[in-house]
Formats: sequence, C-alpha cells, structure tokens
Amino acid sequence: MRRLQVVVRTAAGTLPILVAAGLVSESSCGGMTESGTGTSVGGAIAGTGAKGSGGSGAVSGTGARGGTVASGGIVASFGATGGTGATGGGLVLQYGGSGGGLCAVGGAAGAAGAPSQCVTGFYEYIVCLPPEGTPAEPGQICSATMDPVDSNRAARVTLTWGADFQTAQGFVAIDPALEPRIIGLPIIEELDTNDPFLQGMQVSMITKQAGGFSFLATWPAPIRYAYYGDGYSRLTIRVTLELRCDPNPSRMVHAVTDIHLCDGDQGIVWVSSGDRCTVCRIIAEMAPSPIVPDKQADDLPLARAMRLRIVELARISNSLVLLAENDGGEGLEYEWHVSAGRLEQLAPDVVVWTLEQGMPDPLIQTAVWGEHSAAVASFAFNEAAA
Amino acid sequence: MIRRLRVVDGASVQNGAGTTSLRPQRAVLLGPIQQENLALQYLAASARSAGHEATVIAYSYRSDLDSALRETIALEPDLVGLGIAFQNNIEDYLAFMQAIRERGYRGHLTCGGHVPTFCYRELLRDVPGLDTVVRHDGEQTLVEMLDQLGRGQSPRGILGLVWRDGETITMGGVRPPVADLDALPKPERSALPYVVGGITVDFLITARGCVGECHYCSIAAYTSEQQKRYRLRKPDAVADEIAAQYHARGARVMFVQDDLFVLPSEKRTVERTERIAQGLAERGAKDVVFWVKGRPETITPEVCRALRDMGTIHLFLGVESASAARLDYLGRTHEPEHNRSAIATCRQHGIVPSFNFMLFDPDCTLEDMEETLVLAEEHLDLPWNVCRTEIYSGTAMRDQLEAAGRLEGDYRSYGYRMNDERAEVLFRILRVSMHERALAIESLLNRLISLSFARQLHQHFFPGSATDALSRAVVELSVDARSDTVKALREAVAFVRSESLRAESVVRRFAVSQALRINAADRERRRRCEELWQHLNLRGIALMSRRGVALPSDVRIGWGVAAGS
Repeated sequence: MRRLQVVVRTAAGTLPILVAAGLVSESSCGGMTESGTGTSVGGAIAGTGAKGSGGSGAVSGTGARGGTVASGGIVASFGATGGTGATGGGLVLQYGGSGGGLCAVGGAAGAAGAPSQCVTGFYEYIVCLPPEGTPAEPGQICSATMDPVDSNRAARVTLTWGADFQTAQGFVAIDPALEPRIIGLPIIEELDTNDPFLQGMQVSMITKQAGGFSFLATWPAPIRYAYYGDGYSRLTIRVTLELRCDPNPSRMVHAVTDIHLCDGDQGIVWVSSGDRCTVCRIIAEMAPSPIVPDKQADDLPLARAMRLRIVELARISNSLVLLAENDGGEGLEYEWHVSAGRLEQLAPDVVVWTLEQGMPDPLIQTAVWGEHSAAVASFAFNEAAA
Repeated sequence: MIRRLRVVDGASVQNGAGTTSLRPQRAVLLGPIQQENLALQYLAASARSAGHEATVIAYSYRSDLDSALRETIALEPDLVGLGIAFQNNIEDYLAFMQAIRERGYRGHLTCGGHVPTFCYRELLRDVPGLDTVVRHDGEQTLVEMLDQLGRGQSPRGILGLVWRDGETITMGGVRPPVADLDALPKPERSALPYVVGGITVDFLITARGCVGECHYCSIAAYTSEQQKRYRLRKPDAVADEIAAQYHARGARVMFVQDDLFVLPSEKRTVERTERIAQGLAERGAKDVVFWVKGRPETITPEVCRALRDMGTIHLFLGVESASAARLDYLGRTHEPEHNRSAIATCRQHGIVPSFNFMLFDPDCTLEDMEETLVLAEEHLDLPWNVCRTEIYSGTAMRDQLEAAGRLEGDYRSYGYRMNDERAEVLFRILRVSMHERALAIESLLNRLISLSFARQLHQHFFPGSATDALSRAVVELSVDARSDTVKALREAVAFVRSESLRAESVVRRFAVSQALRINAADRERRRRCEELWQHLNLRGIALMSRRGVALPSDVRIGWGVAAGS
C-alpha cells in the first residue's frame, strides 16, 4: 500500500492552495494533521459528511479531519460537509458557504451541507493507494499480481457501541462480488490508532452473516469520550480475507478501514471511512465492447487487453491529484500528456495537474503499457468538475 | 459440485396440475433496462395473468449489484429470474446469482434468454445455487413453474425447462413457440417514461425471430430449434398497442425491437406496414414515427414508401461489410450492391439508415476492410460504427471455430485469433487507439448515433430554420468524427502493411500515439456532442410542453435510450 500525502493551505477570502503533494511511506493511511489558526467551532466530524447525506450537523474547517483509506484512491470522508462522490470520490476544496471561509467538502456527489465556519491554516491529508497496476475493483483481485492484495473496497468495517463504552458490535461488510468466494472466517485486527485509549482492541465472536461477518470488539477499559475533546480519535482496522480464485490458488486480501470517534446528531458514534466506496463505478464497466479473453502473450504484439481509467484523488481549487488505475500489474510504463496546465508526477501512476485561470476545456491523457499490453485513457478537467 | 434439488414445501406432493390448491407466487425478474426490457415485461404480464405477482428490476451492470440485491430480497420473492440476453457481461449475472444465495435467499432461482438457452449446462455447472434454466420463449414455462411452486412443488417436468435431478441435469424438451403472439398478455411499461430529444419514446415488439441464418447470430440457432423461424403479430394488435401508449403516455416515437421488421417479401411488407398505418389512423394516433430494422436485400422503393408512410424515419440496416467474401463468410444473403441500393433508397425516401461495420472476423483480410472503408467514407453523414465480429453460444461460427481448434476462452468470453496476422495486429492496435472513439460503450461514435436520432426527431416534430441549424450542427460534427475515423483506420491499415508485425515497441508506440491524437481531437467533439444532446433534450421538452404533452419530472433520458441495435 502506498500513501499519498497532500498538504493544503486555506485562508479566509482566498481559494485553497495545494502546498505539497507526494508519496510517503511511514505514515498510516487516512490521517490528518493540522495547524490551523481559525475560529472554527471544529466539530471534527469527518464521518457525517462521508455518508454523502448533505452533512447535517457537520462542520467544515477543522471538521475536515479524517481522510480515509481506500484502494483505488477513493476518498470518503475528507470533507466534513459532503460525501464521497459517486464519481470516484476525492477531496474537493472550494469556497464555503455563509461562513465566508474556505471549507473542505466531500466528493462531487455528496451534497454539501451548510458549512459554518472555516479556518486558516495548513492541512495535511494522507490517502492510501493501491500498488501500481492494481485495479481497485474487488472482483478483479484474483487477477492481481501481488500477494497479499491490498483492496480496501473488498471489506469495510463498521462499529456500533455496545451496552457500555468498553465493547462495540462490529460488522465486516464484504463486497458482494467477493462474498461467495471467501474461505473461512476473516482475521480482524487493530492495525493502528492515534489514541492510546483505543489500543488493545480484542476481537471475538466472529460470525458469518448475510453480507459479511459480525464480531465483538472489546477494549481493556471503558473508553471515555472526553478524550475525543482533545482531538479526534482514529482507529484503523485491518481485515484479512482468503479468497477462492479457482482454478488458481486462493489469494489473501488485506482491507483497511479507518474508523473515527465522532460526536454527531446521534451522540458519540463510530464513523467508518469509505462509506460509499462499494458502490463506486467499477473498472469492469470500462471493458472494451469487443469481448476479448484475457489472452496470454503470443508471438504478436499487444496480446493482452488492459483496462485503464483516470481516477480523481483530490481536487484543490485548480489542482487535481490523479491516479492511472489499471489492471496491468507491476512494471508498467506511464506517460502523461496535458493540453494545458502544469504537470507534476508524484509516482509513475500519480500526478498533480494544475491549471491557470482561462484555460479552456483542458484535457489530460495517460498512456500505460507493458510488455504485451497498452491502453490510453483521457480525463477532462471540466467534465470531472461537473 | 452439483447441488441436489431442494423440495420447497411438502415433499410428499407429486408434481402435476390439480394435486393441491395453488398459492399465488411472487416473482422478481431482472435484466438490463437501458431501453424498455419488453422481454421481461412479457414474462411478467404472463405471470400476472395467471394470478401471480411479478416485478421487473433493473440489473444492467455490476454497478447495479447492490441495489438489485437489496430490492430483490426486500420483495421476498418465491422465484427470482434473470433475463440474460448478452454474453459480454455474463459474469455480472453469475455474480448476482452467487451473491443472492450468500445473502440468504432460499427461493427458486432461475434464468432465461438467448445465453441460457445455449449455455444451460455451463450455468448449472458453475452456479450451484441456480435451480433451473428456461430455454427459448419463457412465458408459458414461467407460469407453469410458478404454478408448481404455488403447489409446493419444485419446478420440473416442464417443456422448455432444464432442472437438476439429483446429480444430473434434465431437459424438459423444446417448448413449441407460441403461435399467436397476440394471445400473450400485453406487457406493461415502466412508470418512468423514456425520452430522446425531449420527446417520449416507447418500445414495441411486432414479431419474433428472423429469416436470416447469419453464422455469427444466435437468433437463427434459437429459432431453428423451435422450428419456427419467424412469427408476426397482427397489424391491428400492433396498432392497438401503439395507440394505447400514444393516448396514455403521449408516446410519439416507437422503437421497434423486433429482430427483423422488414419481411423478405416486398408484397407482405407493404401490406403489413400499410395495415399498421391504417390502424393507427383509425385509432387517432397521428404522426407516430418509427425506428425499425431491416436487411439490405429487402429494401426496395415500394418498401421504403410504405415504411415512410407509416412514419418510419430510421432503419437499422444489416450492412455489416462491403466485401462479398466477408458477407458470404458471415452467412449473409445479400451482396455488396444491395448495401448501396438500400442506403440510396432509404435516403430517397427520407429514412436515415444506420449500421455497424463488422470490420473484423476470424478470416478477414486487410483488403476486405479497405473495401468496407470505401463504403463508410461514402456515408460519413450517416450514423455508423465499427466492430469486431464476436462469438456467441449456439452460433454456427462458434461451432466452426471450435471444430477448427481456433475457439479461445469459454462461454463467459469467447475469442479467436484471426488467420491474417496483419488483421489481428490491426485489431489489437485499434483496441488501444479506438477505445474511446469507437469501441467503449460510451464511445463518441455511439453517442453520435444517439444524437443523430434526437436530431431526426426534431426535424420531424419541430421543422423550421432553428431545427435546420441544429441539424446541420449535428451532421457537421458527425461527418467530422467519422471522416477522422476513416482516416485513422486507413493509417492503421497502412501501418500494419508496412511495418514488421513483431516489432512490439514500434507497434505499441503507433497504437499509443494514435490514441493520444484521437482522444485529444475528440475532446472538443465530445463537448459539442454533449452540448447538442442537452440542447435538443431541453428544447424538445419545452416545445412538446407547448403542445400540451408535458413530461413528468423524473424520466429516463440517457444516451442508451437512443442507442442502436
């Protein structure tokens, strides 16, 4: 799993600015740090927006906490007020509402709520990305070249408080395409947390249910939500699945979910990232209309068909962070072309595309090829914004 | 592993009518509905007519999986049936069938349509949760299945049905086709109207089957087993159905989904068409326009006159290729000159023909393609696209390739390698370079086909200078895109003629460079296409509203509604 770090500066009365973006390795996924100086009431409620419900009660500004983990670059809960866009989600920063500041809102399809107040400051987001040449579509995991396969869309964990604040009922929702192929019970484990009081989570009573698996999470001591007041608390849970890939050997799949402790309309709740990821458009739909078996290499060029699309990871005013998602595996060559604007390549398959005002209808294209396959995909700045 | 048949209720009850009282059953039928899925609606109507409940749910792609599962399970159906008409996304249906069992559905699971009619063994082998497969026309078969379920029996012993019998698969024999199509209960329409260019369109089936024996087409195989090639509805019944939609929903446009509308006999076609037109006039359905299909060898001036008099403005024409050798290979019964005469005759009568050029097939050559490109270039103003001949189960072409050891893949995705290596490499290049222009579902050329039909509707319903200007803009855009397509195809042909086919990096660079150029040029074309599509839709809605034909706020208005065959 790779990690994309995005640093954004916001200030009242101006557009947000992408300060830096790059791939990092040491940080955990989905985190965020801030050095804001604003006056936001700062609800720090990432997940409300993640539901794409219009952000009732959500707060912008410092509420832009959370970030999420999603292979394929699908970003769910950056925004406090929006939701993940069905178009692939992503971070979108734009002008706020009546607060007059600059607010973080969710993806395009998530209706933005009414932001209240926003802050001035620097924000750093971490987004997990799949390895190069790995489709984020769970149904194609068996064709992935690495093992284990990282696919955060394969499984998503949700928690509900138990009778006390020491236990929570958990559920691992499995992507429907994978559900029939899961072998045995998953391994569910706490991978990371930024809150010492959330450490030591024990998982028990894993039980197969329709659509996934239920489990019980127990902490060593009751969790006092007052700790939440000092900042947000994040728990990262990893689910390990064994997937039947007949006639080939089974594959191990890692799926990671960030879960935040949030104070919402429903009281203190657990909010999971990637709320809408499982219904995002799938790469299989982009298959060429000719029915082409996945041929092995032969003595002629371009024997294999490759599926490719450009996915928007983040949009900060006039800057886009884009991923060339494909199923070509490792060792591919990537070539990016823009009709206008500035291009910065963060990784072979990840770029930042920045435009100046007045550039009409700009287009970016990526060409990806390997030894026996090639594909080209295009992406229009204005279409994506629509 | 084959799952043993589960007896739903009352294992001691013997199958057969009248042994126990019948409890009405609830059926959910799923399939694609980019256009009205009349095949499923006919099935649903038959089930309802027999006293059962039936609901049609959209399942077009994997992206619908979650919602389709949720909607289906919420209805707690006794029977779930999938209509699988297209082989290219059969994996989506396999995923649904596996997932619904995992979600705990314990009722009867079945599927039908062209693909299961031929792939029943593979489907029952690969999906343990699948109980039965319905072959050929399913109306009566479905009713008998629901009746058996209603008596607490497991469906079996039914004509047209394939079921599990212990570890074996048993086929109930081919069900004779319904001779009188008008005796079938009438299909309902979806609550949401379909709209093209701001005008309500409807869909209609006036016939089943086709007279052709094209080697690549599964319709011929389907009907030959039924021993009934072609069945027609009566003109009055057709007029009744159209008039009902016209008066109830304001439908002014009829997409005729028949495999074939124009008959081999000129006389019969003219008579039938005139009787439908007369029936519409008698029923007060004035100025209805039609989208129909026909074969080039049957398109004569008299046929076109009758079609035009009925209101036909668009004819999907089975041109396929301009090469006599390719037409022969494909099992077509027309000659290249029929293509030219049919197109010319349509033009003379104000009917716009559209077609797909099947540029590639297992034995095609570059010379064949060049012949077809000449024809394509002569008709840049007409809606057309290009494709490779695909292999479907049940077809003569599939069997021929298998016998020759050239069939690749399996029923989920058949393929082949062309004999002519240059043709094969050309196709592989175009798979890269023409993906967004021609081969993807949302390709520019496919969108232009939809846009062209919207333009035609405006020319027909809202004639005038403003429409003429819009129409010119659509045609200019289309000519520009298709002209560039022919140019790019010729460049690619020239490339594979001149270069070493095994120079991997050279071939790849050519494909990538061509794709980059095409996509860059198409950015403005796509923007313009979208702009014109939206304009035509909004304008059509406004103008029809002024005529008292108002649309509800929620309609189906996507590109797929006006897609070609």
